Amino acid sequence: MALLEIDDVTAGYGVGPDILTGISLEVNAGRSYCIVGPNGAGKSTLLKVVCGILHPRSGEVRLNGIRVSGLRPDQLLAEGICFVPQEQSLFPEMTVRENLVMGAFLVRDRAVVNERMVRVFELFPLLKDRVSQLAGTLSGGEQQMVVLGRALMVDPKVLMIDEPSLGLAPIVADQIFATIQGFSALGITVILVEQNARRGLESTEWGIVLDLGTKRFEGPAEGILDDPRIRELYLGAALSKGDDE
Amino acid sequence: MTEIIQVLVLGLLLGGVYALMASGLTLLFGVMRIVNLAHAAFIIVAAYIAFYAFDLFQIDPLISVLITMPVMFVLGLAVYLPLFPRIESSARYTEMTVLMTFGLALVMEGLLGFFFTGIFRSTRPPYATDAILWADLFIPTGQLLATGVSALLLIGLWLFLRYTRTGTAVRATMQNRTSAQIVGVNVRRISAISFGLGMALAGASGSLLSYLFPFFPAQHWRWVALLLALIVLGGLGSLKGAVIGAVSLAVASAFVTNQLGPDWSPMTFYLALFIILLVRPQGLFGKALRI
Amino acid sequence: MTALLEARELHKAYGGLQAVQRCSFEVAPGTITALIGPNGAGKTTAFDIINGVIAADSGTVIFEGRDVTGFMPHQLTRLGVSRTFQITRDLGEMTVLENMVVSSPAAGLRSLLGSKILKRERDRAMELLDFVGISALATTAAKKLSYGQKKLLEFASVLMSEPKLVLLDEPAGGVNPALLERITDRIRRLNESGITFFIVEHNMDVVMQLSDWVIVMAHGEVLVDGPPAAIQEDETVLDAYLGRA
Repeated sequence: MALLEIDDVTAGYGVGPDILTGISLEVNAGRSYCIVGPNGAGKSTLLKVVCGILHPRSGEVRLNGIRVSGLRPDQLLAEGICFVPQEQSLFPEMTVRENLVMGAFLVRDRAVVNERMVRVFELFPLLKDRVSQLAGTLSGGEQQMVVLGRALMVDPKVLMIDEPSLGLAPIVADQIFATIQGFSALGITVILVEQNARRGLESTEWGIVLDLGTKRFEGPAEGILDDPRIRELYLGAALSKGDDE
Repeated sequence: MTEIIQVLVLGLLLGGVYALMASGLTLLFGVMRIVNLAHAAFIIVAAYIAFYAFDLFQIDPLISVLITMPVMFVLGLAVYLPLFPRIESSARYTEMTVLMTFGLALVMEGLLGFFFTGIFRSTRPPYATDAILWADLFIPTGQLLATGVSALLLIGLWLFLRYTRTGTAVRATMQNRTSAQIVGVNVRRISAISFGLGMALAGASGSLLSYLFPFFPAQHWRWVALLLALIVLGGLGSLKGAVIGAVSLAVASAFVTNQLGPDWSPMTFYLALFIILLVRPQGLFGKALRI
Repeated sequence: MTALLEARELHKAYGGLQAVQRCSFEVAPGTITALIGPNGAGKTTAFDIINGVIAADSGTVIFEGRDVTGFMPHQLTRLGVSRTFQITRDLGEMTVLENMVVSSPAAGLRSLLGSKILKRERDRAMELLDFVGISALATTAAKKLSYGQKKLLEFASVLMSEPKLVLLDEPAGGVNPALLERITDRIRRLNESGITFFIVEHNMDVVMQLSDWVIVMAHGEVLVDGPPAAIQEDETVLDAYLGRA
C-alpha cells in the first residue's frame, strides 16, 4: 500500500476558483519525489492540502490507508507529515538552538529532543558553529539549513519542501539539494516542489508533472524533462505551420 | 545636579508603572495583532476592584495585585473568546480590532459610570503620601513600591516567556505565527492565553494606579493615548521596546514637567508619537513596516 | 512602422534584488503582443512600470513617440493606455453599470454639470456590456457577480476610455474554457478594429494561439522575442522555464 494517497482532490483558496481540479497520485515510503509544472499548476497548493493548511473541497488524502484530509496541521505533524513553506519560516529572534528545539515542540521527552538535536548537528555541522546566533542574522543559505534542520527535529515520515532553492545563490542551492538527497538516505519520504525543474529532478528519484491542477504524467526523474509533452506543457500546444500569419 | 537626579528618579519611578501598562498592550499586538483601545478601560476596571477591596476589606493595593491579576485574566478570556476568534481570518483583522475595542471601551466606561458614578476615586494606603529622604533626594514611597512591584512582574513575565514551554510558544507565535502552527503550536490556545495574560498585566497596573492617580470612568481616554505613544515609540510588538519606550518617555516627561510645569507633561507623549511616526515609524525595536 | 509602445533599458531593484534589468522591448501597433516568462522573470514589474503604477530606477517608456516615463496611471489613460488588474477589483456595492461609468475618465467634474454627459457615458457603457455579454446584469450589484462575470466587467470597463493600447494582466486567470473562448474572441474582434493589446499571461495555449508577437523575459531581462511558432521551437526559452541544471 502506498504511504500517501491523494484521491481525486479538488481545492482552492477562499471563494476563488479551483486550483487543484481532481488530482490523484500515490507516494511510496522512502522514495523522493519532485513535483514540477508550469506556473499556476497547483504545486504549492497540493503541499498545503497534504499538510492540512488547506482543506480539500472534494476528494481525500489518506496516510497508510486512513483518511487524514480535514485534520489540523498540528495533528498531521503528530502523524509525521512535515511541511517546509516557501515563505520565511524561521523564528528570527530565537537562536539557532531555540529554533531547532521548537521543531520538536510536540515532544515532551527531553532525552529524545537532545538525541534528535545531536543527529541534526551531525548532518549540519555548520549549524553547530552557529548554535547561539540569532536566526534572523544568518545568511539566506544558513537560514534554509536551520529550517531543514528544524524539520528533521520533527522526525518526519514525510517531508514536503516548497521551493527549497528560492532566493539562494546557485552554489548555496547546491548544498541545500545535496542535503535533501541525504534525507532520503535516512529513510524519510521527500516531496519537493521546485521552480527550477532541472535541479529539483536531479536530486530526486521520481518526477510528477502537474498542469492546471491535475497530474499530467509521471516517471523516473532522470529523463522526464526530455519527454516531448514537457515542451507542450510549458509552451503551449504546438501550432501547425499554417496557423501564424 | 541634585535637581537633575531628582527629576530622573521621579521619571524612572513613574516609568516602571508605565512599562507594566504598556507591556500588556504590546503582548496583545505582538501575538494576535490586536490593537486594544480598551486596554486602559480594563486597567480602570482593575483600579475599581482594588478600590473596593481597600474600601470594604482594607486590602492593601499592593496585595490586591494578587486578586486583580487572576480576576482580569478570567475577564480577559471572557471578553476575548466570544468576540475575536470569529473575525480572526479576516484580512482586515487589525483594523477591525481597533473599531471593536473602541466600542468595547465605550461600553465599559458606560457600565463603570452606571455602577460607580463619576466621582474621582483613589485608594489611600499610608505609603501613598510617604516619602523617603535619601542623599538629598525625595523619593515618594508609593511610587517606589509600585515600580518595585512592576519590576518583579516584568521579570516574572520575562522568565515565563524565556523558560516555560507555554512562554516559548507565545514567543514563537509572536515571531512567526504560521511557523508556530507548523511546528505544532496550538495558536488558538496560545492567543487566548496571551490575551488573558495581557489583561492580567492590566489588572496589576490597575491596582497600582488606584493609589497613584485619582481615577473615574472616563479617565481611560487619557491613558490610552499615552499607552499608544509608548508602544509606538518602543516598536509595536516588541516587549523590550515597550519597557524602554515607557521608561524613556516617563523620564522625558518628568523633565518637561520640571521645566515647564505639569500641564506640558502630556504634550511630551504626543510630540514623541508625532516625531517617531515621521522619522522611524517602526519604533526603536519594531520590525520595519511596509506601508 | 514605429512601435506604439517602447521600453528602453528599464532597471528596477527591490532592496538587494534586481527585479528588472536592461529590459527593452517594443509593441507594434495593431498587434496582440504577449509578455511571458517563468516565475520571478520580472514580467509583472515591467508591466507595472509601463502602466505607471511603479517608477523604474532608470530607463524610458515611450508611447506614440512621446516620453511617458514616470507618468501616473490616470495620465496614461488619458493618452490612450488602459489596464486591467489581476485581482478582480470591483466597487462591490455599486451596480455593474455604475462601475462602468465610474471607470470612464469623462465621469468626474463634468458629470456634475448634468445628466446629458452621463447619458452618453451610459449608452457607451451599455454598448460595451452588451459586447461582452453581460448587459442583462447592468443593474445588479457588482459584488453579486460570479468570478467569471467580474472578469468580463473588468474587461468591459477597460474599454470605456476608448484606449489605443490595452494592457491585460492575466486575462485567462481562473477562467473556465467557455468564458475564455468569449474573452479571446472579443480581444480578436477589438484587435481587428485597431486596438493594440499587450498581455501578460501564463496560459501558454492562449498566448500562442492569440498573439502575433511574443516577448520572453527571464531573470529580469528580455531573453528573446518573435512570432509564437518561433518561440515554441526556441530551446533557450524552454530552458528558461525548466531552470538551469
